[in-house]
Amino acid sequence: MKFFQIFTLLSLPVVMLTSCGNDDDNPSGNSFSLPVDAAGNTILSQNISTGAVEALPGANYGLKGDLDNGVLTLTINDLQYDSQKNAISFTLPAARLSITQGSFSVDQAGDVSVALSNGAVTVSDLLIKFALQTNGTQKLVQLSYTIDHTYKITTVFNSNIFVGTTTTTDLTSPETKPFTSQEPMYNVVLDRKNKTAQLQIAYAKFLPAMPSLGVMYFDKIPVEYTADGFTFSINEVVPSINNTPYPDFKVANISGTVVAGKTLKLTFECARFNRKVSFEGTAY
Amino acid sequence: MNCLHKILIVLPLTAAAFSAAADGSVPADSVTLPGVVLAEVAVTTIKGGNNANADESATYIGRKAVEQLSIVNLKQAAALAPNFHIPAYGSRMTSSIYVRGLGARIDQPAVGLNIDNIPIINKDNFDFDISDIDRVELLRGPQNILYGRNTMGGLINIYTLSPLTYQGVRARLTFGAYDTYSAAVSVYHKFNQRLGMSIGGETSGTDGYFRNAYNNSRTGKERLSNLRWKTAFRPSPKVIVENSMMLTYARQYGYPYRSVSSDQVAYNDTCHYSRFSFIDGLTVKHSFRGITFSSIITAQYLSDDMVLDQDFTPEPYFTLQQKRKEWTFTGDFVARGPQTGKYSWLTGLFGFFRRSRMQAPVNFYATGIQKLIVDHRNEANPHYPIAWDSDNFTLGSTFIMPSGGISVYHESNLALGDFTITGGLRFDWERTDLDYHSFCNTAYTTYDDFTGRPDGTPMPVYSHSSIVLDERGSLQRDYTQLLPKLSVSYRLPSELGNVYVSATKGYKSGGYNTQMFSDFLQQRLMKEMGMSQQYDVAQTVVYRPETDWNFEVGAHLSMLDRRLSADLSLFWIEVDNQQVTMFPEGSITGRIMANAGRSRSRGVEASVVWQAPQGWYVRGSYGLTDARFIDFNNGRADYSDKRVPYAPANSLFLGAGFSRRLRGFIDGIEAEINTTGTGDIVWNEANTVRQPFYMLLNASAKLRHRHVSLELWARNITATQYATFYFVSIGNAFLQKGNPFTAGATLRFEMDL
Repeated sequence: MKFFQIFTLLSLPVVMLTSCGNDDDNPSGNSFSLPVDAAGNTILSQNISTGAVEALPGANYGLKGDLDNGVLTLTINDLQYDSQKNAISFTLPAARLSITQGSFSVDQAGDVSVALSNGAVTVSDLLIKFALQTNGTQKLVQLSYTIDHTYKITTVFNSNIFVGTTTTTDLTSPETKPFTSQEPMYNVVLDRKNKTAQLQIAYAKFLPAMPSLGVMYFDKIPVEYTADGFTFSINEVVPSINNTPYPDFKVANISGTVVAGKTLKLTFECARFNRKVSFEGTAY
Repeated sequence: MNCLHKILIVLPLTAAAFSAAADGSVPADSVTLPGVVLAEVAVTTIKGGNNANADESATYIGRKAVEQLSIVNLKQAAALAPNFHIPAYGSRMTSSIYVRGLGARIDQPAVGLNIDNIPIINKDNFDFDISDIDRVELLRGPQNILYGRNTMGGLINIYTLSPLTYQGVRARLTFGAYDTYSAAVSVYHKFNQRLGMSIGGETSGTDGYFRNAYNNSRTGKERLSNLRWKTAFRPSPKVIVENSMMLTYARQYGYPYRSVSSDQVAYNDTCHYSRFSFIDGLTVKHSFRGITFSSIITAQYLSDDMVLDQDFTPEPYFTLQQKRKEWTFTGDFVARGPQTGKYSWLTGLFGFFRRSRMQAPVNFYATGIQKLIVDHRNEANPHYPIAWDSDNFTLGSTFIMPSGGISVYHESNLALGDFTITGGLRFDWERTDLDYHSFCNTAYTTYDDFTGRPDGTPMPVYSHSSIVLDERGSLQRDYTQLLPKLSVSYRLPSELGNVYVSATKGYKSGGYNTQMFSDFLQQRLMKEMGMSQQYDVAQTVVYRPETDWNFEVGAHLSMLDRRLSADLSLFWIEVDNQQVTMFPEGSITGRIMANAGRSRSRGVEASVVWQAPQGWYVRGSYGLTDARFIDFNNGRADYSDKRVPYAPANSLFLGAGFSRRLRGFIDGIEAEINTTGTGDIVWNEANTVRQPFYMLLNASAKLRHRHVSLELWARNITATQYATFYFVSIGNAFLQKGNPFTAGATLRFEMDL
């Protein structure tokens, strides 16, 4: 899918990896190495006791997988899990790496105690998921864990791509059978500093005879954080295509919910076509 | 009075006019004499010979018939064979041959062409005039076993005179309507019993039959010339060496494509085609202990340049250029066992290498930019309209296409009494590469018509965008094919002839549709502008091989002491992955190839030649083809059970004539009248546009005095109006009309030495 190739190359190349063991960090064996830069993610930290959620600067991650032995080692650097505390760095011992429907994953619920430079922390509920791409690569989509049974950490990557079903209903004739399509793809790009998101829609097809368009960009949609992701909404916005506004394609009442690494639910209305568009999809 | 009535009235009147004048007779040459091959001709017949083609449908045209019908190219020869259709349209590059519903307009052909054993690999080099044809064979049904790739529909073998069998001087001068002319001279000389040489040349031309209403110029004008040099050397009774060299040149101006809506040929940009080709083939035949070893080594060079006003309208939309240089080398090595006895065999090894370099720029002009790009984009966003920075730009493409292959084949014949069982097998391996480089450098400006501004002020510039495309890539494909054949022939008693049944697999190579690249680049350009989607290059330009199974039952009959011969065949063809030429829908021009799924062709063919008394003869052939898609859905429409386009359902040839010797100043007279029938032809996959069945009437009369003869001829005497081609480009429908009534005279000089 060319949209994703172009898009991930432009935004988050660090999350792409191949399953072939020809990385320079692992010169031998069937293994991989994936660095994730702090600039490419946001840390959502929920205090389990109080329920409060903080959106904090991203952490540096290092993932090293050993496919022959089926294990993955996670290194976390500069993790700020509480705005009142110092950032911490540590390396988790190897966890079991599984392959489910072709996608890699780690699901380790148990407690792991790791030493710090001045103390120790307990890491539990480690969940790492990759999504198999059509070109055979594995893309990291979900990375969450709990610190000291107190802070539930959800890593939200800047780019969040989803595929699924887009349903279009006719606002002037609601009883008409809705039009559905699997073609459109959605990317929600989070801007933590400005607390906004950019919604990108590729292969937009809301009507059978809709002209083919390039990627549509909906900028500066206000964001509210949740424990496991964020919501975004705006009354109306004019999209841009190829850096040019398209006023005729103005959409209204955009409302979306991202569960990081899992799902996107999105609705909006398009006045030009008198249509309401709904999307439900999974992370890709 | 329709054309059929005119023809039926003219035929008997013509016959009556000649019958009273003749005195004496000369046996006319046979068109179809199955299984009979003159020993002299067998000198250059490597894979044919006695009993060859007894288990398939074939039309043979001997020298006499060639001269009676003035046959100098493929189109004229094909008219005599049932279900063999070569329409005349476009340029000398478009040799679209349809046999039994199988064919193709671009890229790989379904029918092969050999000239003096030289396989002409590139179909774009099929159409040129050849003087001094000694014999033409039109073989229908797959010929892949012996002749390899791209002969799944059939094969045309053309043999020219050999200086070892004919010596003399021949000259020909022709003038006709529409400033049509030709002049040819050839000399055949035998230095001794072992060495003969011939050299000949021809130049011809016409100013075209139609006019371009845009500038009132003739369209379809052409100038042709060729040079042939043939050497035949027999160093020993068991060795024959023959070298044939041909140089051809063609230059054409204009394509007479007529708009259906305006019924005019009217376009502004230049259209022309020029071609130079060099073909040389060395055939060596050596008999050793009953086995004949033959080799055919060829070198072929093609250089051509085509420029098309691709929209064929008076508006400056766009032009396409295709400039190519290509080298091809082939080698065919054949071992053949004795042809007498119960068992005979033939085994061969074939290889080829071909390298083509092509430049194919598409130049967009003001109207094309506006209507195909700018309007399309501004319709989607009228508040921020764009304007192109210039009134023209180029989508450039360069292709390098090396390909090669090797084949091994074998055929065995086993005679069991009156039965002959033939089995054949061929293994083909072929690799084809494509290195492409497509590029574009252009720009446009976006204006802001959305933000408020004082009345009367021009739209401010919103942004300026450059579009720089530079796409490079390579594609490689390998194909293998195993092609079997099995046939059983039964010799009828009293030398009546034979009946046969056969099953043969055929194959047409896969390849790359380079014309699709301009469309691909256009889509890339639109994508850079925020519109449309990009094709996957490999999925779009690559087309896979096409295969078919041909099942046939037939008979070759010879009666009345071989004065009456008749052929009859019934065929059934199943095609998989059929390569169909399509014009994409919408504001896109150019053609694409698609593997259309499956299709089926069924039909019947019949031909008869009667050498009547007093020098009279009658020839006739009829072919019926029902070719349909079994499974073809192009993603937008389902064409299953629709007829395959461009292949006629019926083909007909009826001719009669005579040849007489006279006493007096005029010592010989010949006359021929014939009619051809074609159609109906559907022009599109939906079968909504068609050319009804039509007939053409032709006639000629020749008077001879010693070595000189004067022939008066006329073609399409009833001035039948018909179309030979139809297509749709950027939503406009076009067709090419068939040639109108023409007449002329040919002066010949022939002196045997």
